[in-house]
Amino acid sequence: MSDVVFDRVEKMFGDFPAVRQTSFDVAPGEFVTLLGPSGSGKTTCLRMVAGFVAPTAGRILLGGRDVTRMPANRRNIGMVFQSYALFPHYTVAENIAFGLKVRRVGRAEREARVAEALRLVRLEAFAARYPAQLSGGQRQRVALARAVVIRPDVLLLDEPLAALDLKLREELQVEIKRVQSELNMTTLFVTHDQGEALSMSDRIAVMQAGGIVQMAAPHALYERPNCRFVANFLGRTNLIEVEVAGRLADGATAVRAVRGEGGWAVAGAPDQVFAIGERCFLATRPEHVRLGGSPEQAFEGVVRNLIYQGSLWQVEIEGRHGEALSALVGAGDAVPTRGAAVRASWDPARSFLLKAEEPAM
Amino acid sequence: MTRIAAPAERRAPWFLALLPSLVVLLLVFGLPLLELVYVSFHPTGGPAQIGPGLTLENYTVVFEDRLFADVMARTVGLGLAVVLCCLVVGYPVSYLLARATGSWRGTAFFLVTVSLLVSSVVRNLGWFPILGESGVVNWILTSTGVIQTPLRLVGNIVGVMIGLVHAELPIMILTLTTVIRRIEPDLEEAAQSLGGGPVAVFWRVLLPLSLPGVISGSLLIFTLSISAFTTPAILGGNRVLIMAIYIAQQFQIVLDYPAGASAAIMLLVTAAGLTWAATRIRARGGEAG
Repeated sequence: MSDVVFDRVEKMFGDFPAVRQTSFDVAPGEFVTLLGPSGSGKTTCLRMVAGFVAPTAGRILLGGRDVTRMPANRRNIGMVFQSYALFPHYTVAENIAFGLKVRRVGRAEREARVAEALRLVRLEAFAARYPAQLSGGQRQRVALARAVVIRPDVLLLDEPLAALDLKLREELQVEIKRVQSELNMTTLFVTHDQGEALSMSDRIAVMQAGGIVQMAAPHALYERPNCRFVANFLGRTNLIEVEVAGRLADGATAVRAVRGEGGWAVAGAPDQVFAIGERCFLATRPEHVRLGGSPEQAFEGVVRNLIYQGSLWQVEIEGRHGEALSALVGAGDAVPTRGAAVRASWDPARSFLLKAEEPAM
Repeated sequence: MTRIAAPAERRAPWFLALLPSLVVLLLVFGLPLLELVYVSFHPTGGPAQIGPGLTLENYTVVFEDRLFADVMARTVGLGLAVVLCCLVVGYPVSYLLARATGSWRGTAFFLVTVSLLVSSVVRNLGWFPILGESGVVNWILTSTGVIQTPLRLVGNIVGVMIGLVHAELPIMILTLTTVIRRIEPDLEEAAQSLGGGPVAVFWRVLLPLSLPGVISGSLLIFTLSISAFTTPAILGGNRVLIMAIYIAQQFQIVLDYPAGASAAIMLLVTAAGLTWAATRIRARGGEAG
């Protein structure tokens, strides 16, 4: 049985559909991320699970109970906010004890559980401090301890890392993941940061314009995006407009460029059926594109730009008809100069086709 | 250094701008106040007369005169009751105002503050058609059969209380709204997510965090209530003997100037002390917020 069930939920703000009929579920102990740009409805979904926003239609189940009309304080959820939302007039220990106090947990048990929660986030030494005396990372660890100490049915994380600087964000990412798996806590996480989503989640639901476009495990989502939006929201993807030319003997599909004379074999397993002559997009990740290679699987062009990324160079190549291709080249490898004519190629198994139309929502 | 300082040296000292108003205030306010202090330390020399010699008797009377002690107790009690009513009525309104958004907020603020713009005499007289024996309230209560004989709502302490609460509520609401608006709504949601119902959210989060506003608003309103004169005079019909009325009677009817002066000084010191405390608390709350 799933801990969170989101059943055909809809939310209208006036005439604006913030969330269009959306369904998903979270299994016990699972870490699910709602990923999307701002305005995609991910935060509204989380706030409906929390009980701060009432859905216009549909049902929400937590641990098998229908909570659609239940006020937030009776749902047994733990929530971590982007703003930390620590009570400034309480110490760290009092903040963590808040949920236990309103649940009328006895003093001895309360103190034991607060101490345990402080140990969990490694802030034992800070119990008597006030939130104003803590750093951003420490505050968010207190908020996490406060949310899990009540043993919630589901832990809700609303962009908890967005207010932190890069290094702290990475540290806290590890910390949250460690706490979550130590407690085997069912978790729903909202972020617009694809890196966070990929590294922390069991499954990711990519949202756009109030609906889920694709929901899958991180590697499946990265390797097999089902549309151009997902392909470019999670990392970057080269898209070349092509036409299906025919089938090859090994099961691969032959395509030819709509502009120019390039032709390629595509061997990535297709989710969808592509008819001969259909216009679609050939997709391949920059890290799978290498310079050189055989002429029959080649993209010919001129180096327009070189972007240094530390361990890698990003090489931007422009084809004769203005098509763009991006390749990642190891810093130790031979790097072409700007303006040089180059040939790039990729393994047919590392490319796949995407439909010309985006899925309707 | 000298070049930078030069223009400042040529500029007139800033307090010159205050000089005209300072002079006026000293003449019409400071001097009479000093005279009041002077009179309060003299014995009475018959009606409207000041006797010779210095005395503390006008102040020690507080502990001896039963009538005066009653006046003091009634004044303090009235002040506390008005504060309590303003808090109970004003807090929910302030909360809604603090959390209101959009155009609704401007309208609501106007409605709250508009009564501050009305002259206190007009505001008080306006209560008579509502609270009088044949007023709206009594008419509704008698015609619906809730009561048989009309209630006395003016010319007594009930009327004074209604008038004072009405007059001072906007001040309480403005003070509380400012403080509540500084409390992040996320804190309330956090408290709810942790299992706190409306009561817990109020007692454990909202009230402690808005306490500076509650205290400074209460002190202000207490001060205004114990020193109010117009409202007790009009709605109390001169029958509710509180400090301001007592002082006026000493000067105008009894003609015991030293007794009136000492009472006025005591009221003034109390009010000034409380106002100072309210300002201090508000400043400290501002730093914390």
